Amino acid sequence: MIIILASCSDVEDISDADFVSDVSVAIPLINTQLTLDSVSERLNGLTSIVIAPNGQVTIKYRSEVIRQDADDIFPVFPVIIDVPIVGPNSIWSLESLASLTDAFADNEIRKAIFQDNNVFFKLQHASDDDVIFTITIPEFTLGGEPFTRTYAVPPRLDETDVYNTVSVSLDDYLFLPVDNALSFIYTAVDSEGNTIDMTATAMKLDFLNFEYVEGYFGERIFDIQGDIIEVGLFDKWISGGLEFEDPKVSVRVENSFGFPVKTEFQKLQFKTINGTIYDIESGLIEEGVAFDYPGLDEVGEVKETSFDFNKSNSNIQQIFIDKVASVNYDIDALANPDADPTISGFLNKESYFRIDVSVDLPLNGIVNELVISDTLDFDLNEVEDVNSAEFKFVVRNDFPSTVNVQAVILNAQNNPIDVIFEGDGIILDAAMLGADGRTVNGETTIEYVNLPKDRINTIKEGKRIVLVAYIDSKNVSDDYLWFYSDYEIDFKLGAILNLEN
Amino acid sequence: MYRVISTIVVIVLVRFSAIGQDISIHMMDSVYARTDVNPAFRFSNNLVFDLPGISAGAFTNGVAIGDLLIENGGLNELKLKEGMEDVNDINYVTGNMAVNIIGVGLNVGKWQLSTGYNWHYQGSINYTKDIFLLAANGNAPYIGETLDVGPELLLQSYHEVYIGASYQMSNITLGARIKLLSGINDISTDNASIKLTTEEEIYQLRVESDYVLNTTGILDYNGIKDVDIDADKLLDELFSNFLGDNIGLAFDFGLDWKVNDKFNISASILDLGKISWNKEVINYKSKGDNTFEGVDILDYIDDDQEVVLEDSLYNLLDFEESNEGYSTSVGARIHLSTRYQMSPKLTLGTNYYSASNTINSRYLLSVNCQYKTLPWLSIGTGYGISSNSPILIPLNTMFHIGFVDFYMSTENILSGFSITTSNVSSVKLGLQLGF
Repeated sequence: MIIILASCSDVEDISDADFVSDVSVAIPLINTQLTLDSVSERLNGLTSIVIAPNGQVTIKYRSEVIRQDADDIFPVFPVIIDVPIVGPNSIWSLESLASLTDAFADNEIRKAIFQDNNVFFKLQHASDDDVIFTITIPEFTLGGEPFTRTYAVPPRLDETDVYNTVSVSLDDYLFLPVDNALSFIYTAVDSEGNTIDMTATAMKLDFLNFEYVEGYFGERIFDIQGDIIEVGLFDKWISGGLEFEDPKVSVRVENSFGFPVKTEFQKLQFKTINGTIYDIESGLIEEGVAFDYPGLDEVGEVKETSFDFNKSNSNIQQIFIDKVASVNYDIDALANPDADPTISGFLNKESYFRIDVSVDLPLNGIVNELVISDTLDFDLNEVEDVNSAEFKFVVRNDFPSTVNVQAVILNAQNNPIDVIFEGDGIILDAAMLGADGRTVNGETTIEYVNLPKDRINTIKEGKRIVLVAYIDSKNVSDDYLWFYSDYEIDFKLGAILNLEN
Repeated sequence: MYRVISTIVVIVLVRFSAIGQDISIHMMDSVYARTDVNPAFRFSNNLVFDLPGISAGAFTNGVAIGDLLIENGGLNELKLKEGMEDVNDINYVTGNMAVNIIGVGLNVGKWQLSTGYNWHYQGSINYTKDIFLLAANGNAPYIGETLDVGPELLLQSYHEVYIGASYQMSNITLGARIKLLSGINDISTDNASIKLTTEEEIYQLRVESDYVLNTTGILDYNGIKDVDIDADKLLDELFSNFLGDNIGLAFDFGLDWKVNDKFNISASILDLGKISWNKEVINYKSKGDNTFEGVDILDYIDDDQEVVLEDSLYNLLDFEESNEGYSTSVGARIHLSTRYQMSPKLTLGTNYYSASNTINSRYLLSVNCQYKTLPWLSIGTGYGISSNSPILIPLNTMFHIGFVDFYMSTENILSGFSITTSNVSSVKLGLQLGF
């Protein structure tokens, strides 16, 4: 019994005891092989990285793509006027449509196919009997047969009584105007076959809407609007230079309208990180660039036109030395710039302009003591039980630029309370160039950062961390250097955490 | 993982302390319980009722949990580093308990018949030195090394209904017993290899695993950081699942040779059998190589998701679940003993005993003496050595009052006052009525 009681006492001691541990845990934290290729696979949005077949890298900053469809340029509109039919044989000029919308000003429709249109006629006569009214519009044909309809018009009740016929669909009717005009031929007879004079006759179209239109659409400007392209490259810039050998603003146009169009740049401005605004100087601005367009035998095809503002046709390289933050552009499209009415163009419901403007920065440049910085929120208060720590950095740099990285911890008052790395920070030596102009593998740098308990307690007071990077390529070459997609920064970080609880 | 292991250790050592109470039972002449270690042993009464009793023991060949206990400012603390010097390459902690619910024995001429019902619990954990060092020190001191960190586990409880018979042929008695087993719950490992390597470069972690953990619903695994063992089910379901699922059979065989009027040699082999587990079975299997080399920050470019290092670490050990039935052996025991009647009051003896379960085994050797000090009192002691202890001093006491026999014994009286600091702790209590 004594044994049992003594044993129970022992067990209680164990059950009541606190488990105390004092261990050192070694764990990998970060293991990243950073290449421009790998970054490009993960980018989305308006910034992308384009890699040429030879591995040379271009950063591309885009704005939203601008697209204008046929309905934007030639909108469907209701025909609010009656087309007068004056006598059994009458002609109505389509120029009258210009009074309805600017879209038809200076237009000459030579061929069209109706879509989703309906037509009816307003008829009036003075007879007390029914009148048989037959009308033909030779310019409207379906399967080669002209549009013809016959209506029985009841006796007029009074002078204000107008008979409206039922609506007839014009879908798929081919419209072939002669001399930009429309003709009407009608007969009106009573039950005995006597010709009756119509006191009022008119045609009413609900909408003017074509599946396909061919003709001359006049010299006109389509306001395509513009956008602002944000160039984030210098967002973190502090000092130093980054010079590109051949920066570009590229314009790529897709056009399936079948008539000549030329660019008219209303604006192409560059705003630097200091707020200075530069207008680009280029012959392309004054002269414009003609879009390629499909011919009458290429209906449905999309023609592509690409051009760019570069160092050979503009002052863009000098502008970029001043560190561009954004590009503001506004492009119009000038249709039929030669104002030649003999040119016959077309458009259909699928016709569109698509304009894609981008800032292209081929990474062929000189990095001259560039210092960039970023500030991030920082909170280590949730890190508990860490008595001390040792971080191990293993870094290799294949880029032809030396990179120094330092990290500074700021407290709530933005005062620095700790500098993570000793001296100038962790130094990633530049990789040297091989004979082919590419770098050979860089040297691996190993750096340890020890954080004893008092330093951890200090860092826990931090609210922000400022990362500062110094980058320079001059110690490799004074010439422009290409960055290739397979250049790699191999960044590895492990930690030994001494835990107590 | 270490929380789970420590939980199991506490379950094994604290909830149930003991096995190995068989060091001197062969010396206790009239006790029905002697048939537990050899079905050929005879009891002296014609009719015996073995009333509820208990035998329990706990053993370790490594660090006793009490050795980890230190007092700090009046508070008890468990500190693994305190056991660094005692840890072996392979360590086991074993505990078992048998509750003898009822037993009935009958002597009919040369035949002796017995039947009864018992309940058994056994728990074991095998842990490597690497597991202990990892838990005590962390992995940082072992950078560049591979640690073997796969623990072997066994937690098991079952019902046992037996029928036994022995027959005396001149100077040799043969005995046998058949046991119908009904499993209650089980956790047991099959393969148990988990190797953890910490690389030198930035401490990349690699886990090679070939690990199978079978359970009958008392272990709930929801990832390595969320493992719950419902140990209460081992006890709480004492009266459940009786002769339902998880059926098994086991056999005992024994011989007792009366060389002459004073000298006996006996031998037995016990618990040859197994239990087939098929109720609420879940198999957790992990096989393959997993490496965590650190977070690739490129995966978080332009992404608001939080970097969670912890999840990557826990995924190093990935288990697949299945529901395949399995079987476990009960754990065979061998018992060899001699007895020499020096005088009417004094008996001397020797004993060899080995016990094993599915994951570890243990043996002991002892010399014993039993002395009838009074007609109603008998005391026994001796000296023993076991695979996990160089010295054992057993002690037993039997009271015989009328038709009532009460007995208690321990395998090692030296450690009896502190089961948590001893490598061997056991106690056996029993009561029987003999007519």
